[in-house]
Amino acid sequence: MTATSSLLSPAVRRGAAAIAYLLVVTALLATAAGSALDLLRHFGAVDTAQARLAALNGRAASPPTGAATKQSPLLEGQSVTIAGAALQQRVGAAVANVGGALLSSQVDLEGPQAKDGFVELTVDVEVAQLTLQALLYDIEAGMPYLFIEKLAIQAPQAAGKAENGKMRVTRTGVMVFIALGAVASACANEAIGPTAALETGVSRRHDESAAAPFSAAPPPAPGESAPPRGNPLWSIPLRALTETRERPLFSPSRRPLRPIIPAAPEPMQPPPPLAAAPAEPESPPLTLIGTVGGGRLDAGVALLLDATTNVVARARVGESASGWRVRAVAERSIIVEKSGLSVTLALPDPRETAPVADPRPPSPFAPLQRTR
Amino acid sequence: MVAELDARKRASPVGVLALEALSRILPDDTYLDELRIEGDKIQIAGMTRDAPALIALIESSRRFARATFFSPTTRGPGDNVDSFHIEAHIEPAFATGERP
Repeated sequence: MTATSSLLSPAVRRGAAAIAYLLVVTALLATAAGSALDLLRHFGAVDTAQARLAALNGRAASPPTGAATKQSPLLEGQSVTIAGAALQQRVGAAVANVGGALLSSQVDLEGPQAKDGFVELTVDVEVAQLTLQALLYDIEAGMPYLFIEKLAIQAPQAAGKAENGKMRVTRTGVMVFIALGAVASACANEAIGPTAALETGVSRRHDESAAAPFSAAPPPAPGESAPPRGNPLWSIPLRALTETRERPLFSPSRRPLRPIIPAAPEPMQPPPPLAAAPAEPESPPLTLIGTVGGGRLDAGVALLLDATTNVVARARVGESASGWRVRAVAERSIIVEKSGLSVTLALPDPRETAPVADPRPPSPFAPLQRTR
Repeated sequence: MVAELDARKRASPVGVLALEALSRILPDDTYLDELRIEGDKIQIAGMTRDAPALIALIESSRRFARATFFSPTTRGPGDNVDSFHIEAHIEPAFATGERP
């Protein structure tokens, strides 16, 4: 190697080095260009996917009513106090719309989120359970955007009222973003449209020292990709949320509530014959049909009908029938026990004509008296 | 800013959806006396025949996670119902773009 290089003149060696250098640079450039093209292709694919997603979101998200489309998600006001009063009005109207009563409402201009531009309102409301859902939906899906920070619902029966009485919604915090003056009208005009211009304005309002707006993204051209817009709850209409109304959470019956007329009482059913009545798991399937020698507690015999087998068994004190041990036999009743549970079985009342019919409706187990 | 509010709406737990999910999940032998939502935390108190079963039912819903009893479950003498107090975390309804 050294011998060969020494044979070549310095000029030739310099030329060869230059050519080699050029070849390496060209190769590197080609590789870089290939990678860049690849990257661009990927960006294109991402853009297409985002555009498709945005289109899907755009189709789903629209305010629930036509009236809301012209409104802004921000609350407008000449001053913070006026905005607070407007929030009070907005929530008060929502409560009145569902026939509820606004018991108290208090605006908090200095709430924990005040520095982010939010005004808070704490309300106590009385509302029927039937319409509670509509009230919440109005607040959560309506305009301007209201955020429920706290919610406390008390069932009517918890306050000692009837099941279809009014619920208490207490110490519930609702907040709204407020926009003042020129920013407000800009926001209102652009609420559903491109947002970059007013983002600049709002950022100035909240942070006078900020040099740059907090979003540098250009407004997306029509048809291009954009972040999902609107309240996502708009894609779920109130009528689709059926379970809340059909199985009301705060009703012991969990059945749809009828606001005015209580259900007519069920006609009293005649008591089924004891022998056919299904036994509770812990109750003996036995009917006492007679006693012999009752009164001498340790020597009597009981005649028992097993309802499951329809077989009459005779059992002395200490003997078992259908798994139940006879502990004592009296004149008109016996005591049987099983797994530490004692049950008194009594003969039907002699004044009753039907010997196996339950004398005391409506419980089919009226003659049974449990003793521990 | 509107975009930020949109994002905030998207990330916030939705009370009306939490109510709907609970109405669907909780069996007929269970009802509520009280419900509280604060941030992404929900607390419910009520009566049921089988309080321990409620934890699994709530956990099985996509709407809720980390369900626990936050106060002792009690049963009065002669009662056949439990008085329960359960707390759970509300999962954001829209963060993943899901629809109920």
